[in-house]
Amino acid sequence: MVKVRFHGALKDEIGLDHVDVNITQLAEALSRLPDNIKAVLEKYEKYLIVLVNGRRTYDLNISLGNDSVVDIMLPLGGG
Amino acid sequence: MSFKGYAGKILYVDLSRGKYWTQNIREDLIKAYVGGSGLAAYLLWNLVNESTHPLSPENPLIVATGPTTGTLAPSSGRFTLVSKSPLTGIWAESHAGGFLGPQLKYAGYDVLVITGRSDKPVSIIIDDDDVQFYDSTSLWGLNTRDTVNEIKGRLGKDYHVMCIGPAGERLVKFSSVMVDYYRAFGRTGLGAVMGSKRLKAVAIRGTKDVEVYDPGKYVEILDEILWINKEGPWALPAQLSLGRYGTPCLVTAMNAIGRLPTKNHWTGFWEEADKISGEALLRYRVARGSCFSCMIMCKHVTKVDSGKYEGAISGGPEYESVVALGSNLLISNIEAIIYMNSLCNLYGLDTISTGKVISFIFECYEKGLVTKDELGGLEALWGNEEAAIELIKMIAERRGIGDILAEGVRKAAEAIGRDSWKYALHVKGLEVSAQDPRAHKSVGCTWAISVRGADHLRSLTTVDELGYREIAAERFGADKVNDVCDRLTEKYKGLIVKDQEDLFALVDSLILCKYGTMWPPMYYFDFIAKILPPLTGIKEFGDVKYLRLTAERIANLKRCFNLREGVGRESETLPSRFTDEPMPTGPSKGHTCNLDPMLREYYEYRGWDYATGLPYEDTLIRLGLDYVAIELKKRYKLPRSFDG
Repeated sequence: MVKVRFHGALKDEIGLDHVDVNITQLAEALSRLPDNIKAVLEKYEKYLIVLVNGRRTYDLNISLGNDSVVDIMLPLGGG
Repeated sequence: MSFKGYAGKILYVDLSRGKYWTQNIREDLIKAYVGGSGLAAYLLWNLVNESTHPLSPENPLIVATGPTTGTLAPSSGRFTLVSKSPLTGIWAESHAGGFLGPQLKYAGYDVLVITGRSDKPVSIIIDDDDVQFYDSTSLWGLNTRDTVNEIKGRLGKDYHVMCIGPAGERLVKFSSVMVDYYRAFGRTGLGAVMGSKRLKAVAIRGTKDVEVYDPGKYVEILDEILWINKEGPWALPAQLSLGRYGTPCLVTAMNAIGRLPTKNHWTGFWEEADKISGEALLRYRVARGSCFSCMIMCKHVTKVDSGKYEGAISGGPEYESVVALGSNLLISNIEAIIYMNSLCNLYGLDTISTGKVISFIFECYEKGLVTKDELGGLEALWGNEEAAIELIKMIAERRGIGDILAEGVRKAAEAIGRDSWKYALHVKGLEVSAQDPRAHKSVGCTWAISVRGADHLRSLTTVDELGYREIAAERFGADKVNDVCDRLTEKYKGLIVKDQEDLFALVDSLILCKYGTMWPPMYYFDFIAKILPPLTGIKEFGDVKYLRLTAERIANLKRCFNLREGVGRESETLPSRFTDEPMPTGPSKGHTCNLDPMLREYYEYRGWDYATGLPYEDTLIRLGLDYVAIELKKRYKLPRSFDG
């Protein structure tokens, strides 16, 4: 099972901090998200940062292992 | 002075003699050092030497503004405090936001230099040209909020105040200087410098104007800045992260990459991070504000309305404080964190150092290196918020074990002995900040080379934090992007740290906020080259190459200051936790930090000799630091880059 976590404003707008999906390819996992979640992600599409197991990915076609964690957030930084 | 944007004067105050005087600032110094911490570095170099004790009357406290201060430049409310640090014995620099910096400029001074020691507690009141020494015996012992209330109550709300609390009065080595209610000069123990002078507060009101060289052109650029902040590519992300949540927006993101310091930096991932996140803090927010001339508005004020910590009110807490007092101690009760942050502010303590000193003693207790008796009956267990709160009070009041901890983690480990040094996480005596170089390798280089010690604000790079490829390509070239943006490789990290150190040396001299320059990366050298000429009339400031050279000069001067104190290459190390202990859990599991390749690369780009840890003499001459080379050569044999 893959956990897809949402952070910050995405979490607030979606109303959930994560969903679990049983898909092993990232693009497909994102396409299978509920419509209300997809709507929020599409709204901020050009800003989204996607991490797979803590590593930034720019390739949505990558495979996901069992127990992978996908984090989706808006840009931020600093300390 | 023919330059605009500056008041043109330094105000000197001698507390020993109860006297003050002014001096015009030389224009060649402005061109060479800009202002802010750059100019302060030049002044400090000339005002102290290696035998000046940080708590002696001779050690100056330098309060400095830059040319952008008070002029509506973006995020230009910050100002700097510079001295020799009582915690580390080397370069001390801290910046605070708010509204006090512009008041100093409006009063007619770019810089305030305070020396000496008063016979009794005193405050300095500056009202344009009038400077008074105000007997503050009745204020001594008050917390910082009551101090600000008293002073504003007597003088008027149009005064802005910087002050110390009981921790600074007791010379706690990491005591802070608070500005008004919610801003702080946190790091390096500048509160103790003030305390050593029996200086309780400085209150300033200024009513003069600051002239701009070309107001029409300047306003055009301000319009451009307005667009950048409201509609530019970073506008929405900045508003949805920093604007909405303040800096704690970083908590869950850093946890997601395994870089959230947890349990004295034992690991970088915590299952309970959500409980102390920016989102969790939102329900406690009672106000949101900004510093002078800032559109990001990252200052959030939080308050606990009920329960055990009812009434606790705090500016922030900021990300660094949430981590230092939260995940670092395994404390997940956000209300306790708000309370502890408030306590630190009231006492006048640096939250970062305080948190790391407490986590040090927690780990010592866990490992059996200190006993309950030695801690005055405290159970210093992970997650024990009552113990953490009591330790904050003991440190501020120098009671029991607090008296040892008040010296900082390096000295505390020396006093305790018994291998406690392994858990004393510092570089050059400054406790580490809320990053982890095992999960973000460039942090290791940043901490090691930073002139303050383990510091995230002299050169923290964000291009590799979450991978901002376009910025990396623009600044370093498309061929380097993959390595630059990979937080888990060492390659090119020396380069990006050096570049960031130069940028921040300039930014800290202007003075602009790191939010806008560190992240979001809206303003770089080219932007600074646009804004400075119409502000100041100094044509050279419009040349990016000139600005880069100036930035390098300032960065080198600060590094040489430490060299003159005898602190050099041997101190550019990391605690063994980060080099020898693989990250045990989380997304960055298994990683350590290999400092050496990054340091070598940094030295190469910096024009310093890695083998000796010294600057090449020709580097200093190229930068116009001949006077520094002359002085260093009394102590060191400076290499030359063309030596065989």
